[in-house]
Amino acid sequence: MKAAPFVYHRPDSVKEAADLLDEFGDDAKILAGGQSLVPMLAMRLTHFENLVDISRIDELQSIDLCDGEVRIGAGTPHAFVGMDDEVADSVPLLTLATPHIGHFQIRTRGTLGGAIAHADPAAEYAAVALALDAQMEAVSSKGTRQIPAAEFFTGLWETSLLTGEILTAVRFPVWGDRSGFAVEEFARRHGDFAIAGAAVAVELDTDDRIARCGIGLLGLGSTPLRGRAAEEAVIGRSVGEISAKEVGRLAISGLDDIPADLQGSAAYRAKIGATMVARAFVSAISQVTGASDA
Amino acid sequence: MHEWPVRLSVNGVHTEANVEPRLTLADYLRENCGLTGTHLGCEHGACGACTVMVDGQAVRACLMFAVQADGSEVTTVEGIAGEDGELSPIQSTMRECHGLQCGFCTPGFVVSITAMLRDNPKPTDAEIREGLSGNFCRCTGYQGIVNAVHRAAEMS
Amino acid sequence: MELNNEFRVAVPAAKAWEVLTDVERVAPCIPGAELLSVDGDEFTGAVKVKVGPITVSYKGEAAFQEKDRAAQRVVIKANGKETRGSGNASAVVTAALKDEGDSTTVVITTDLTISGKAAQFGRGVLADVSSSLIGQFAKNLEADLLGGLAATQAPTAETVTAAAQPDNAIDSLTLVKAVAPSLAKRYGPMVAAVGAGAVIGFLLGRRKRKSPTAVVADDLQAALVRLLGTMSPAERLRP
Repeated sequence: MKAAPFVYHRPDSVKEAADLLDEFGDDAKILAGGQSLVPMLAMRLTHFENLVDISRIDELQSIDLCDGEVRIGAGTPHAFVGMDDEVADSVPLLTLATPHIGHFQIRTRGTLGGAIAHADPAAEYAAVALALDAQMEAVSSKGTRQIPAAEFFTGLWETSLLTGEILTAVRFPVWGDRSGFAVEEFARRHGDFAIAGAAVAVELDTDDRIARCGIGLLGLGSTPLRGRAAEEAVIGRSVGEISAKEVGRLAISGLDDIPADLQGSAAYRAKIGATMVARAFVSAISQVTGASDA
Repeated sequence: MHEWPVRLSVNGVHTEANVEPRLTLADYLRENCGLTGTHLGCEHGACGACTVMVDGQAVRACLMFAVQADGSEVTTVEGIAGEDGELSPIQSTMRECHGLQCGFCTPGFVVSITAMLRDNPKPTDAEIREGLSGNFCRCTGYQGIVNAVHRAAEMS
Repeated sequence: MELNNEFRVAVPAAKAWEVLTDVERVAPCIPGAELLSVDGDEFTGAVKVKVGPITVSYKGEAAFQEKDRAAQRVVIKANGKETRGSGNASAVVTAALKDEGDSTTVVITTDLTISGKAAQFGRGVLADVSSSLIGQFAKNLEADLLGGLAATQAPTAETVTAAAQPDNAIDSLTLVKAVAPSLAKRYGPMVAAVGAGAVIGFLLGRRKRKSPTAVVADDLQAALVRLLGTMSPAERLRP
């Protein structure tokens, strides 16, 4: 099927793009990589009179390590995020999440900002942003706004971005040296939307107690979620005395809106989700404790 | 009708047209350039039959509008063989290893594999299978295709 | 693919030759590079390069294949593997020096073969990266060459050492270690003729003349310490 006709705009700068959004309001939509938007347009699930193409705005493609965080321009394709060595050194959770995103042909066009602004409940980068307490930078003709990840995802494919705002960058904090990261996802075929998944970050203190823990959940609600109950239960506890299975169970326990569809029932998803959290937790911990024998 | 000028180099040949923005790159290549090697399987980015290279990167031509490729260099399956028609390594091993039957998915596989081997010249079996996961084949059961990739990697 | 670049340094060709054929002088001038070992004309190292928006790290070895003093030609063959990834970069770099009296033009021809992460970028991006790398290299090289020249004066002009700021004295010592004996022997008498005041002025001026991206010789130590002291969390975690 083919998309319905629309007017195409290609601004050269973020400012121009913001002005276009002001001009057309709800009749305009930002087009970045198009890997989520174009299928929806082609299948006529949605339509916009104006598409504002930001995929060629240079200022939106960047990866910079600075002051304890990695700032990634919203227009940076997944493939670049996944292969960047600074990201691999500083925010490994992003590097680990990237191969799970669709297929490599999708990753050359799809952008980090696009995935986060589209806010699919199974979006890997969205779960990573939540787990790490990232900050989203949004720009409009009225100025710039910082939105913490915890306040960004408000509903199914809905974010707290206002009309006229463009997500321009996401800032991911760099965790300390004694940190471990893992992403576990389950899908029937590689590249399908996850049935359930987890992105886990842990940081240990010198006594091998959990100092910090971030658990991002995918596919388990109408938005990406945080497994806060599990996080709170492990903080301060020694690694040796924590049951990963219990962590998984706790992460899922508070969820009340687990999807049920052709892929599986809510109970099925919950079970998969708990297992993904447990596996990711074990993997993340072993990255820290495994190496401390050196 | 609202139209945009588009200038692309396709397999080294300069092309120009005024097109509706909603025209996908896949349709531009097929209709405007007459290069029907790029196939339309699902038209929503899942099957990979429409895979082409834009500025050296493998992309889904059905998920890109032609206007977005303005100024780029596009390589389709028609541009993979040598100047004199000499088959590229993956093209000849696909033939050798029985990696195609009806051939509908083949152009997408050939372009995807060409990009894959350029980025990772000596892939493991697992890496090959993961790399091919974005291309669907209904005929072969994939084994012949995987063998073809192994052979092509050995050749270079 | 073949990439062509050219740069100029404000020193005579003979001096530029000395440095360009000395690994331990050249390596610190390459932006993002770390020299790991030297064995005569062969050396190993690591380098971090920004290609488009992404940073790619390579580790590998290089060797001087040719040092033709008469023809003023140096050929270096280098080969690196991605630190994270399976890609490869290999280059044969030919540098031809053209003597222009007080300055030297160096013409660089690079025969580059790339696979992996950087390979997906077109020729345009790779040419930009090489121009930018060589541009910064040239700036670093010039700063090093001119700094080395002034530094050999530190021990001979006593007023300079006494009156110079403490940091300059430390830098001078470091550079003297690297530069002596060859340069000191060759240029000592000539430069001794330059007044102490001019040398102090030059040292101070050089300190302030920092281009935004170049690693100037007097920050060399700091930069190397940073590079060598940096270990990623992931590297620390590997058993």
